[in-house]
Amino acid sequence: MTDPDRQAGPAVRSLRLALELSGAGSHPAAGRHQAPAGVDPSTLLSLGYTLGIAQAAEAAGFDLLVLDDSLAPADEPLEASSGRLDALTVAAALGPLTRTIGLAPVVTTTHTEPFHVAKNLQSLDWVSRGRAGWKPAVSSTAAEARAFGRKDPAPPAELWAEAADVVAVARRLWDSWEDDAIIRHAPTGRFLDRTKLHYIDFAGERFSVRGPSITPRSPQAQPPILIELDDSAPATAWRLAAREADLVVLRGPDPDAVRGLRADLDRLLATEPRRGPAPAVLAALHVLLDTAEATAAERLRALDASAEAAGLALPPTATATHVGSGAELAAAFSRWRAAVDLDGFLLRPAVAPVDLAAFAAAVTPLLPHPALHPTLQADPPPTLRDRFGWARPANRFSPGTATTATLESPVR
Amino acid sequence: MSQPRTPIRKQIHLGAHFPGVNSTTVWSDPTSGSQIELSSFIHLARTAEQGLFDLFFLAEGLRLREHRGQIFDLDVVGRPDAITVLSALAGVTEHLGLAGTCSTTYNEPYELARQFASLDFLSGGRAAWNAVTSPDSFTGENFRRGGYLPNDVRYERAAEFIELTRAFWDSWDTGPVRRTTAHFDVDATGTLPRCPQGWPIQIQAGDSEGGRDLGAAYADVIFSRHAGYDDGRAYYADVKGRMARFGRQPDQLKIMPAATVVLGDSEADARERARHIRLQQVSPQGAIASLEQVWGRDLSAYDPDGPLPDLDPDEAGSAAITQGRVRQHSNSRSLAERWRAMAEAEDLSIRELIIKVTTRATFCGTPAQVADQIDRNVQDDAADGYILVPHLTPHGLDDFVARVVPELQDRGSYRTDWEGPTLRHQLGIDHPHHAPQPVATAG
Repeated sequence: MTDPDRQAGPAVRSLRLALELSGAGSHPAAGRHQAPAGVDPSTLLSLGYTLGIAQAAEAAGFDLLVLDDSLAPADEPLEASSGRLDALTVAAALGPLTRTIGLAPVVTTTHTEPFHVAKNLQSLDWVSRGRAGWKPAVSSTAAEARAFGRKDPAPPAELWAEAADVVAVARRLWDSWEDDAIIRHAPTGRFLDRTKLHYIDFAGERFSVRGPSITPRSPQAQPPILIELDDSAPATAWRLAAREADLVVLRGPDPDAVRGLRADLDRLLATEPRRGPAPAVLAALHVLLDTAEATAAERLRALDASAEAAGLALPPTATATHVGSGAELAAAFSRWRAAVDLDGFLLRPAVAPVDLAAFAAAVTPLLPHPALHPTLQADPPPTLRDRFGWARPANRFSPGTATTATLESPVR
Repeated sequence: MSQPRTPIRKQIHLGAHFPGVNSTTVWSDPTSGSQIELSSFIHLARTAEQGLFDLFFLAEGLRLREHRGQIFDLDVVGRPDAITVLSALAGVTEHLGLAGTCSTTYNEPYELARQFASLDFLSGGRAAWNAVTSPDSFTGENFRRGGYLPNDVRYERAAEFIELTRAFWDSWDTGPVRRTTAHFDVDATGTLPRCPQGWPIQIQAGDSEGGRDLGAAYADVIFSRHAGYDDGRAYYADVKGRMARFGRQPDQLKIMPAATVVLGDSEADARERARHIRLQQVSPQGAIASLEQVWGRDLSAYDPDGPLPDLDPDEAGSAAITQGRVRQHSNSRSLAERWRAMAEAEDLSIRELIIKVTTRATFCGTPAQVADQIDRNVQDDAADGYILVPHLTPHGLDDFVARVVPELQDRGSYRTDWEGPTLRHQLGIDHPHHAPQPVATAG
């Protein structure tokens, strides 16, 4: 290990932290408890609720806010806490109201139009001044297929192969304008140098897209792509992650399981074609922390009882869960990183505002605070790529940018 | 002392159109700013909000326009997604309606209903959707479904699409949406409860028979091209006259034509500014391109400051030469003959002729004169208000808000405060099924 940050101490100087927000929180009863223990469900669909989370996460030093989403239709019982806003639209609203945190919505690829997906993420990058990310997801249920009525449900392996095509289209559309395409050249009357715009002419088995994008190349050019994997993810998802993901989230029940997933990823990274640096790798963790009012264990008992009373399924055990104090969580970060080569963690708070506040109070002070880092105080603030130390990529369509046939071939 | 009672005047509604990607928008002016940076959108939106405008409007085009087989490079090109920008504006504005154009051809009702409901929640009831139909296979090359939609069924699909979005917006109260229609086969409950406005405000812009019927049946606002007094009155009477067939009252629809404004310190000053703007809008190269759209052939060898070509148009070429823009004429040969006669009679060069034939109704004059023109048109039912299309990004409405809005307020025809929290309040259009309930009183 030659990374100076990792040699410097037991924990966390280079620690990367992402927060994933899913409604009131990852516990199924999170939206059923009134404050201070839970979230008032009538506020969940307001901008104020998500903005409060985003600003608190930014202040607590998180690098990235992931906004969970799905196109699954609402199911009985229809309660305020089961409403779900479009994540990209929420991320856009947060753009002008936050400063340094990355904003990565889940955007699905199965029933959506690849052209819209690509252009909307570019637009998010514009309105957040370079802080957009993207977590692709697929829609595998019959209920989602019936909501669109355009195609039949398909197994995840096929859907992730399609997702790879959507990623391929997005990456090409994002480069379909060169940075200096807008010239505003009055003597010739030309606003644009059209030789710097490129048709992408993507033709896959499932769809074709001509291009170019209607949106100019965005501040980051290529918003980072985050892909989450576990041992049930199909090979097509793993290959896509190895080829295209900037951030990989590994989900397993404990450090040993995640070490196995990391080894699988490393094998693929050694063989799959890839542009740019290796991905940053995070482990997924559910977190439920002590608060001033109750211990984490007491809170968990109350939440479980509430879920049981409402007939809700309890959270799956396939993801590691930390139930305890903030100091214990900081120690767990070190323990995991001693066992697995990880850049950091993606945390899923059980009750989002409560556990985020507990994190800020008990864990943030134990970590070198990135908000104090000079690069985050610069004006303009760094982009999400800057924050992770990834250069703004050269344009694949610019003369002089090397491309290889392997890199252009779609994932199969 | 009680105030003297004045008759209540018909109230004017105003919208701000973010400068677009056609020749109305001048990019060569030194004060022209970015068409893509968020700061430009915020400036125009805040200006409109300061002027108590009903709404801020974004257009859409899902493929870059092409001319003679190449991307058209003479106008502004490139813009972000409308809903994404409007959502970004939701948190930096408080009352302004946020209107986005989205195609019914290249979207699906379940997903689009969800995006607009999300915008309505995030903005506290300020979302509006301008539904357009885009049948061309040229645009379809960017989408999964391609360009299969025949022209004559595009309004059928649009009507079915709007019906389905409404059903999804209602679905938490009325149950799952299970419908099989000519264009759709869906079965689902939406992901969201009823949004603050019930249904976001529906805007429509069609001008054909089918488009006018669609507007009369579904629209809360029509964004028309008829900004003049006479054509405005004819259009207004025609569309509002169609509403009874759909069981609707005329005041449930606001007709807001696109309009441009040029202000001056005197009438002569305003005219001089208008002439200068027209010269900026029609560059020498832009004049030749406009002529090529009618002639259907390469005219780049012609001098824009010289006479019109003697040769006749190529009718087939004219239909195909420009892609991604609505063609405004049907017979190139007769149009070319009219233009040649006009140019000969008035001794006009190519550029002068194009300036003359593409100049649209504009409110032009001192702030008081412009306020009089707008007020007269609205009081005489030529419109319910206007969506103003500035020629400059992002400062194009600064003067209007500072100088014309107070004049309109002085005339008693324009609000001096917000009507309520939602866009429905500003427009005065209740949700058809969810009008405010009267407060129950005892005894």
